[in-house]
Amino acid sequence: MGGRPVSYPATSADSWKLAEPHASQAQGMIVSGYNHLPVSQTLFLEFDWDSSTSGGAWLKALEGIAPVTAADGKKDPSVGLGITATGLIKMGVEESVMAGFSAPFLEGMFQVDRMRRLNDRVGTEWSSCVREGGPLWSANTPPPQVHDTSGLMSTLPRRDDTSITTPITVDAMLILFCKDSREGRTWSDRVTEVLARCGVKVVRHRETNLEFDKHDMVREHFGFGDGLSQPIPWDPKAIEGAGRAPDHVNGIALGDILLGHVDGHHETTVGPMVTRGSTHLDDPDDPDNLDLGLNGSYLVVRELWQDVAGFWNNAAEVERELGLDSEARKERPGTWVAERIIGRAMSGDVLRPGGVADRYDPKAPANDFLFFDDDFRGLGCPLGSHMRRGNPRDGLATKASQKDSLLASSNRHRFLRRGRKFGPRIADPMVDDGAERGLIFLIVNADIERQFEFVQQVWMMSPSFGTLFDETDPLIGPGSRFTIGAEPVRRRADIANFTKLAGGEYFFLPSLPAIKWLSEL
Amino acid sequence: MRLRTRSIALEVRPSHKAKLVGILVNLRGGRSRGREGEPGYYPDVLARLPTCHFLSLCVFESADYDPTLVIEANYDGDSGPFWACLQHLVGDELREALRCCKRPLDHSGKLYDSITEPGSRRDPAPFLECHVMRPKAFFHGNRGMPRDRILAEASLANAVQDRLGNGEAGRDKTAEELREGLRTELMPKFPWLAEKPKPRIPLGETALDWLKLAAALFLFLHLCLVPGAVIAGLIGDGKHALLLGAASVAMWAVFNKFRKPLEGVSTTRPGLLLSRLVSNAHIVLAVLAALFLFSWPIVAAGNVLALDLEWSAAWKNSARQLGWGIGWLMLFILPGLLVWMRYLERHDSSQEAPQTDPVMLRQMVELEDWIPQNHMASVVSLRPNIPRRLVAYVGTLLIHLALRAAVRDGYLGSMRTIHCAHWAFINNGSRMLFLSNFDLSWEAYFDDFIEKAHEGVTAIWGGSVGFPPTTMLIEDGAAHGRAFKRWARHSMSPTRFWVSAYPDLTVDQIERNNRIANGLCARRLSPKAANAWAGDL
Ligand code: HEM
Repeated sequence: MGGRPVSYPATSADSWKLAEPHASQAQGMIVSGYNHLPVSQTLFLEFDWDSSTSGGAWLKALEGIAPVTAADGKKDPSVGLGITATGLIKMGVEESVMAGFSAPFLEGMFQVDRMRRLNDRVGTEWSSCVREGGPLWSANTPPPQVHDTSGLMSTLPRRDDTSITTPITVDAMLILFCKDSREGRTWSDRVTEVLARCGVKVVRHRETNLEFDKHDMVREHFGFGDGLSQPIPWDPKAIEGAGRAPDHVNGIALGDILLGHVDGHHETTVGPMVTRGSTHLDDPDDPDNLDLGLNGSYLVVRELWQDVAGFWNNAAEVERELGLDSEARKERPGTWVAERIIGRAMSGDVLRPGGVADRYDPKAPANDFLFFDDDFRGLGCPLGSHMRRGNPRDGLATKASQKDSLLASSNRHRFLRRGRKFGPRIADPMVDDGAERGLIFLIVNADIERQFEFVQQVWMMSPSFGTLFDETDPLIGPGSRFTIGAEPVRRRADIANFTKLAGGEYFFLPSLPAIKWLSEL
Repeated sequence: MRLRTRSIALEVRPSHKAKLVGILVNLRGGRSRGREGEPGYYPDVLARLPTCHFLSLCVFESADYDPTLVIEANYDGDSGPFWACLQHLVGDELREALRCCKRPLDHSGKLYDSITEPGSRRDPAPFLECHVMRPKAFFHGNRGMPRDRILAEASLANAVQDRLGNGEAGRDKTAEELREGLRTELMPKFPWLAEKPKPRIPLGETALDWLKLAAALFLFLHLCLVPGAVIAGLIGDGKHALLLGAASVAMWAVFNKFRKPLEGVSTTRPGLLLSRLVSNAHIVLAVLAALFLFSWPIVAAGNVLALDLEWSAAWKNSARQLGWGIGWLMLFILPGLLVWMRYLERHDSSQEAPQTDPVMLRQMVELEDWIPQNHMASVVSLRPNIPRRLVAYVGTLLIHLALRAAVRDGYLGSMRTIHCAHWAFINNGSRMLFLSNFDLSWEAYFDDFIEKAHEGVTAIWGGSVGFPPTTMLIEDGAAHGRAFKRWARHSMSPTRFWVSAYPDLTVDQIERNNRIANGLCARRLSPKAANAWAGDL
């Protein structure tokens, strides 16, 4: 098996810390997965206040009952908050200030061209990755109005619907992290009541959790270890004890997950500048001004429903078709195929030709592995498996001389995954119990286009990932063929889709000073 | 058959812009049947343009110049038949489009009149051929692959995949048995499997590529030897050494002072150019030695003719002159040119927030990402000062020759997503046109540029107005990710009509299909080669 990278990082995926003043400004959920608070109440909010209520009133009220938690230490319980672009506008943020946010955030996840790129909807049809009837919730962002003096826009033929409306409108999202469910529910009831008084309705509520197994591993509904691979942010100025260089395998620039810091493309995103205490723009160099973006970030949220019995029965059937059921040892039928769909074994270890990767820490699966030297042809971890598509590491290199450059370039597209699952655990994974369950897929990134959208479009949904042809991600794609590396010749399976999008949106994850500013609106 | 890349740029009468856009859009709208509205999928066009790889028509719009119609064509073989086929296909539309263009002021004005006068039925092809430009630089990702071969190999690869099915049948065979079985089964449908595959790049073409690069480099460097050689004729060696010593110390001191990037410009390891030169010192020495050897007879002959020397004295004298020439080149001229460049780099402005017209942006985004390939069309103005222009012209030429000679496998840096791209200078060399047919999304394409090939991109575009700040020609620049993307977007116009002959194949897949086909053509493969071949299935 491959050698361990030479440079040991001073920080690891779950131990990096922001330096002050950033730590007390950024939201805690950026730096921590809150493993000590495994149950969370996710409240989706719609602003429905009358004209007498000010836009920031609800944030002031929230301060009393569920103040947003900073990144400066473990707290029990904790709170995270995201606001959509339509939410900010409803709160009264001026157009000139809004213009400082990024385009995907302003346009929303269901802008027509974006839906095509993310493979949610092409032409006039929802894709098979979407719940029947379309998604249930979004910010319902109106299509961007461009002032077309040339008249050209109206004369061009369009091939798709330009505006999509979901039954539920979400303006903000509040996550209450607790130790247990009862405490969380009582708290969320109180929060709901307080918010209602400010004209904010809870329009959707999901209890989500991190369920640890006896090896301390979080498992998603299909039964696989989740959240095992996270990037390790690096910044010599803003991260405590940052080593001399980013981690070789998993290092990314802090600016890729936190606005206002140097990002993977050597730039610092400056957010919308506002004058503290009032809404109109002033001299951007005035030290009294506030960069609304600084130490904030963007959240991508997608509610993905999982059909566990469908997934496992399909995997078992594929295994039979491939003539592998005799090989499929004592495990649950379908395990061999399901592990290849993910790219990691049920134990969490990455698949390698003839087995799994060695562990350096006996308690946890390794995450500093690469592909080029150890599994170039995907004989262990298939080239198109979910985790190899999600992060190809150096595996897209075709010559040894490209390894480093392709690893570095893969890392520029990574994000922090903070998703949690909802719904009851299934009793028998082969038998459908009709319950709704899935993942609130939730990621933190600073450049939605370069990070989330790139991964979804160019790696997950692209029919031409690497040299694969006419196949998409076997886990979240619309259902396609799936190539499983083998000698002398690959095996190929038809995998259907068992994860459906039921709603989603882009949120701004404001820093604490930005929340303070917004609450004054 | 060689793949040719050509373009035509014609200025449009501003009053006729909307009409012209309408003509191009109708070209698209009326044709894109088959898969729902996907730009780039036009079976009828492709059937009637049998040599075409990619074809695009767009209207550039900018506040800085009148609209410009650009036709880009990438096709196999001779130009004449291609333009004739195009005329056959859309002759009437092309004539109508020409009517929206300005009448050229040069000799082709009369031809223009005869084609565009009311009621005329004359063919537009001769006029188009008159305005065809050869690109200053071009790049082909699947070099040496004619369209027919790409399509034939794709259909072979599909047939192979169908035969293999889920792979079950191949489990108990060796790779070679599997290959032989497939070869026999597929031979009746693909009789060309019995032939030896043609070499993609013939030996003669390779030799010519290297020769052209060597000749261009030689010419450039040889000219740079002149100052040293001339001074050697004027003063004795002792004085000359003192002069060169003083001049080079001064030049290197200035160079050292200015070579570092300015505050806020540095993105990667500074000193990339220098470290490249040092790590490739053996190549630099070999180039200098070759320069000396090839220049020697020329300069010696010059000595015989001009100074009336005997040959033996002329050899000696010219060796001395060349020695000094190389000394001046390395110690003074090259650092001097870089200092000049650094001066410009430190004073040139670059645009942090170029505004892209929202209407144009919407149209571009709307036309992108329907198939796994995309098209981009951009025009930028070059910075007006002479050295920048020279670098743009000479640099583009040298980069082109170097890419032609050294890149045989489609990789630019470590990126391989470009099918056909080209750069041409328009409007008397004051603007640079870039047209590219690439794989995956525009964002992904630019991320590749930024992450994997920013040095080359910076070298080519660094002399354009508004480009992000550069250091030493190849550093920084395009590595400023978002600034570079914003700058590039703002230089683009929507591609109104675009055809790809193989819309669902990426460069990588064409290469993979080629390996599969070549493997199947072989009568026998060693077990190791057969295994590697099977890895592509
Ligand atoms: C129901 C939906 C999903 C399930 C059940 C799921 C499950 C998993 C599992 C089990 C892993 C391997 C464990 C790990 O490395 O942490 C993983 C990794 C990953 N997934 Fe997903 N996932 C889902 C949706 C998505 C989506 C929508 C995306 C992005 C567009 C995504 C991106 C990734 C990435 C980037 C990795 C990490 C790969 C690495 O760094 O090695 N996943 N996922």
